[in-house]
Amino acid sequence: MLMRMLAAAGVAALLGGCAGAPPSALPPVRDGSLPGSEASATKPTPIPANLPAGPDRSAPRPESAPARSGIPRPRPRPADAPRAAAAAPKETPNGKPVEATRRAGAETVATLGASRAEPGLPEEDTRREGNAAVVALLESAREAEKARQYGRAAAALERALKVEPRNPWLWHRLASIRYRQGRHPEAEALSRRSMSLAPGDVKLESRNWRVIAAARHGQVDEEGAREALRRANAP
Amino acid sequence: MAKSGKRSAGTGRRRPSPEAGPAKDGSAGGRAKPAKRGRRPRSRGRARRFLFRIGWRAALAALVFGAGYVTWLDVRVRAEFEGKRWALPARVYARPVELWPGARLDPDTLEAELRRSGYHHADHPDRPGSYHRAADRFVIETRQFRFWDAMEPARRIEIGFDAGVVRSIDASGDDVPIVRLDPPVIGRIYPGHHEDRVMVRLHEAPPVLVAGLVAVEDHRFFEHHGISPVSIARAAWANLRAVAVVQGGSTLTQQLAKNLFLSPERTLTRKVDEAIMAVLLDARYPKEELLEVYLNEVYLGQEGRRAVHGFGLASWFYFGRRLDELDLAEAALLIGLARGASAYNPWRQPERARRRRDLVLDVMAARGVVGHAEASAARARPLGVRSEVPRGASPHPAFIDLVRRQLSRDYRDGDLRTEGLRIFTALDPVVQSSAERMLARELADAEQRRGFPAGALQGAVLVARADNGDVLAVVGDRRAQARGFNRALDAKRPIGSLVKPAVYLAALEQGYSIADRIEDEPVEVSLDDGRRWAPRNYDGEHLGAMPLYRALALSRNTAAARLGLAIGVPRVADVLERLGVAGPIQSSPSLLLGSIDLSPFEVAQAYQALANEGFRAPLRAIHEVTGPEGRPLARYGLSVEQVADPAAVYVLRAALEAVLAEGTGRSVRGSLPAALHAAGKTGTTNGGRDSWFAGFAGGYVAVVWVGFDDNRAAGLSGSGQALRVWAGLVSRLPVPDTVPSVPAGVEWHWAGFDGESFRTDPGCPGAVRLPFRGTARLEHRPC
Repeated sequence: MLMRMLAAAGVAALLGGCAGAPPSALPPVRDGSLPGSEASATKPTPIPANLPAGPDRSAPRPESAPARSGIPRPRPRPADAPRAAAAAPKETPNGKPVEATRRAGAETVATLGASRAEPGLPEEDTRREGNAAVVALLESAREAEKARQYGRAAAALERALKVEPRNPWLWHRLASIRYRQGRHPEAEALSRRSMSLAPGDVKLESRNWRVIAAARHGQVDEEGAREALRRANAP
Repeated sequence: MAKSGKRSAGTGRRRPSPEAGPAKDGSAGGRAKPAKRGRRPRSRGRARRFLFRIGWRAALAALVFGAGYVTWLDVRVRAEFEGKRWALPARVYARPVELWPGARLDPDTLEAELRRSGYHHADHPDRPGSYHRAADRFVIETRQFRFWDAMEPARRIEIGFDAGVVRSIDASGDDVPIVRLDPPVIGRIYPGHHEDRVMVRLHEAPPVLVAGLVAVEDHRFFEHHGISPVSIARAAWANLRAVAVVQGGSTLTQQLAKNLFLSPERTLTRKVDEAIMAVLLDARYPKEELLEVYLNEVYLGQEGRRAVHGFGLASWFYFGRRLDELDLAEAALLIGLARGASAYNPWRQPERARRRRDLVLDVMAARGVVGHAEASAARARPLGVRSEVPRGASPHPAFIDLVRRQLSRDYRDGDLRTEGLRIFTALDPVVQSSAERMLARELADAEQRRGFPAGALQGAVLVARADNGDVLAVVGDRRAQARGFNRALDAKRPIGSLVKPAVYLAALEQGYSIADRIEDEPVEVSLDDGRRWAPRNYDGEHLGAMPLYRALALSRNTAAARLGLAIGVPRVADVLERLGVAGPIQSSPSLLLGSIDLSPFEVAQAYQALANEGFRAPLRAIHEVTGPEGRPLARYGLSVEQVADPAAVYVLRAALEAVLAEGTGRSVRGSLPAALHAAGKTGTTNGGRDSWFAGFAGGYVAVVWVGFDDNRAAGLSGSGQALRVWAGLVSRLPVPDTVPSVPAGVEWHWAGFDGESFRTDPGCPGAVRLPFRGTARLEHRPC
């Protein structure tokens, strides 16, 4: 147990080390550089095929689970983190057939500004245009997250998802919040949902893979985390 | 429940007091007897000494007893008053209406929602809870409401609509990005004694109401010490003159003592207890605290078994308004009810209630609480009560049932009933009422068409949001208000052909395409126990070779059985488990045709994952639970889990859309707007015992079951009753903005079939467009 905690702390430190760097500069993780990589060797399944069977598993559970120890603690972010404007990653229709195109104005495109990355997580996106309701709710989510009120942050994002249910950025943000809440499997699932809604959006995929990597670290799945980081950094 | 228990215990403990009376009388008798004997002068002195001795002892005994008695009452008063926690029923809220520029919402729907939340139409909305509508423009004075995550302030907003879309939301000149209205209460979970109340704090109550109450009931309240001898004397005199009890001399404190600690019977000893307790209460607690408890304790009405206590609830009960929204006339009516809620019942005794209210207004004016002009203006107002007695029972018991079950995992039943929890649910009143109406209407029609006895056919409906698993509607009985058997959750029936999407999904996951050829021909296998299994088609015929999607659309049994046997039954069982069907699932061949019993709720869970591109979201009725003051207790957040490949599910969806376009569900094709992208599956069981339809449209997933409770073979079919309910329901839901996007790795191609599948060119005769995972492996033939 102690070993695993040490390993997790090591991972946190490693990820924390690149906290200030822009996401694309995240150093690729070399084999063996992760402490405890030999300790856990559970191979993650790319698509979880094993499904809960019991009725209780399907039950929604209240979000009052305290964060377990051993989870890399997010470092407090500087309040006035510079938000350099970054190119807005447009949702790429990437040659989808007619069925794929959204109706004009149906959902808005996220505009992102880069802020400082947090340990293990891609930096937060800050929308500046698009549906005013979604922008406002994203802002409340950001404030709540800053105050470490992750339940409130999640609630705001879920409200935003009612406005734009198929906005992959919102799913991605929710995944990050779930990670903060220590709900690692859910963080990974939400990241996958985000990716499924924006096939071919490389930038979003990279961010989601980084959430997945962090979530797997949180579950002491080092090999899975490395694989996720590899995909996050894939060109 | 705890309180009524305390009360009966109190009645038992009070017994000593009647016995205390005779004991005193006894001492008096003792005094009289020796007086008779005292004839001789010599014995007079002895008698006097004796009398003195006896009297002294009696007085001492009475004093000691009296002191003990008062002390005992004091202990009771303190114990009950300080430990006073009313058993508050849990309140269950529907989802709040959220408005933002761009939201699709019919103005009529908004008005219905406002009325459901207790908003009143007014020409000039001037208090929270009122609105004005002129065509497509609304002015709403919203109420302050504490949600789980934040407080929505009371404010005046103006909303403009344009063609069923919210165009602008404006609050005193500022654009508002999003507004949450206070949600309607859709049910309560009561304590055993059915006392209902909405707690108010003294400072939340309108000052005029409090001042008026004091003026009318006990104008010396802030001066006396719990009892008011002047009032008692005056009341006694008035009663004597009228030879009846016309006036009560009770102070508010005495009324409070009576309500809190004593049984309702009117005896002298009880009156004495009441007076002592009132003095004790007054000595121990500030007047304001007593007044606040009075405001919440006083009995103000009745509806069935439900007793309306306190002004907070009475305000909702009679006027559909929050206490702080009441005008003077309304407040005066409530004050009047404190004297006798049934005698002055404004629905049954409107004239009496009116006279009482006017009297209250007179007294308020006379005592200077309000001006005379104000009072006479209020006298001119109508009573203003709701048009009918509001029902405390939930209009949607099946949904409340689901809420209770999901809560019972985290809360004890006692806490649910008494802790005043506020439960925020996903229920969408619009969808719920639509589902109730559609089911009732279709079942009545079906009975008439088929000659079934009226009222015998039953059904259930469950509607959820596909993207987040929110349960929007639950109907467990064709009489939606019936309590009892909740078919949506508890009627486990064989699902028949509803299982087929799992068979085809398993095949797609194994690399089949939906254009692949399958034989609709007889099939027979021997089972482990030696019996033979030879499924038949519904129509008894065999249509020969066809593409997979068509075999699913037409619900061919032998084709599905052949396909399932080819890929292996355990693979189908595995798909079902992934979709959320609780195991263990028997991997016998009959599973391929739906020999598995599921409730509509369980079917909805499985279809949700299909509707949501392979991401299962647990169906949840509850979003948040807070304490009575709004303190967040629990939140049931959105979670998803990927259980199937989005590409395979996308391809399957095309086949399920074909069910409604050209398959067993084609009869309702004309009634479904194309923008819904409706997809689903019919289900029929042996002898037509069950009629099922499960499907998804426009971001909703909906399941309908129709059948008889006695499970009789009635010749029902999935392409009949259940489908009609389903189509009627989903075609009335708001059409969403988005369409399913094509996942990575899926391509659309034109395909033809002439015994074999082949790729062809757009517009070729008989060619159809189908989605394929990856590049179609089919040979290309130009037309």
